[in-house]
Amino acid sequence: MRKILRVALALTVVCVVAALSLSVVYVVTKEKIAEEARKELKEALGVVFPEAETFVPLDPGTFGTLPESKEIQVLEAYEAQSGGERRGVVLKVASTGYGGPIVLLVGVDTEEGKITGLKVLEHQETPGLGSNVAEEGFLSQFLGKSLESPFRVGEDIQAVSGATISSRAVARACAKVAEIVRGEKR
Amino acid sequence: MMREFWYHFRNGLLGENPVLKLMIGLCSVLAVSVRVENCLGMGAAVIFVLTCSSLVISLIRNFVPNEVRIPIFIVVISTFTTIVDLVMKAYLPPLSKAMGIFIPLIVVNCIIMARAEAFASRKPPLLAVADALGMGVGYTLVITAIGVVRELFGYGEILSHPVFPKAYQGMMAMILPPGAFLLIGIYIALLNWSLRKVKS
Repeated sequence: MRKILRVALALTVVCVVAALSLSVVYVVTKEKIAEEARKELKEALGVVFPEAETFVPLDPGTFGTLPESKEIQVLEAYEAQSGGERRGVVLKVASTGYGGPIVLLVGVDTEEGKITGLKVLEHQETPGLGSNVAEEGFLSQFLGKSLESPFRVGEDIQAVSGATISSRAVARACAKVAEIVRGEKR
Repeated sequence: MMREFWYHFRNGLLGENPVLKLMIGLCSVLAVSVRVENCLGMGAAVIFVLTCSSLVISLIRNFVPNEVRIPIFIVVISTFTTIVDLVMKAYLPPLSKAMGIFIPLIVVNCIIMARAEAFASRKPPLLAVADALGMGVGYTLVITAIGVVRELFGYGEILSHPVFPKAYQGMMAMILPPGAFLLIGIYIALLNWSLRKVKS
């Protein structure tokens, strides 16, 4: 009996000390991590929609009217405004890639009906192969494309060599966003 | 004492190098050694976690009952790993992004667990720190040596600065895990060969 108590005590003490020190570090870094994330989001929104100055968060639920898909989800939505007028929307979508979800921002100019920019925020694709879909070289082929384009790898989109699945995931995300925006317009 | 400190420190660099001799912790070596920058970041993270965990484990070694030593080691190691993870996320976000899941996975890096079990839990704090530093630096040296070759031939760059002319087409095998496997094999052969030469 005494032995059991001694073992339990040792484990409890170690866990309590660990929990306390972790909560201190958490509190100290929390604000900085959140600020870093906000800064990053603002920068990313600016990249995918350079012509807008302000981004107003929208309820992503209003974009969820399409049939639910496991492979693609709309996580966040923003209205891109310039001079107080709506110029387009930016959607944050998750699309299933090779190593997990690829989270990316897609900017759409709703007036002209074209893609204004793309940026990959998070991914777990193979380093050196799939990870290249986050690079300028691949993403730039989506710039300025009309929403009526098929967004199909092998047709109008060239895949990153050795990373067809990751490339398809990005193309699929664009096709979905185009579909959503087209549907909203009607 | 000082001589013993150096003895245990040097042990991790060559004689018992964790990657090339003990062959543990290879997973992260294969995964993050694509770029030198990641190697240095990973090395620093491992040195920090390994040294702090070894020190704490050595300090509490007489308090820890034998039955629950492994859970206690894991709590200590995961605490330091989470600290590194949070601090990196807050102050070095790009590096934290590049290494992704491999920072949290330091918890299960067997170098740390093995040194806690085989060394730190049996030796006084100073020697535990010497061993941890030696192992950590030994790990960092090897992973960086692999990273230099992989980044040079895989991307034609060193620390993201172009070295080869722009026309250079990256070597796919170096970017993928096989490149790291091949290099580890070559380094193991070189180390064993030179150690044998020194002996004879």
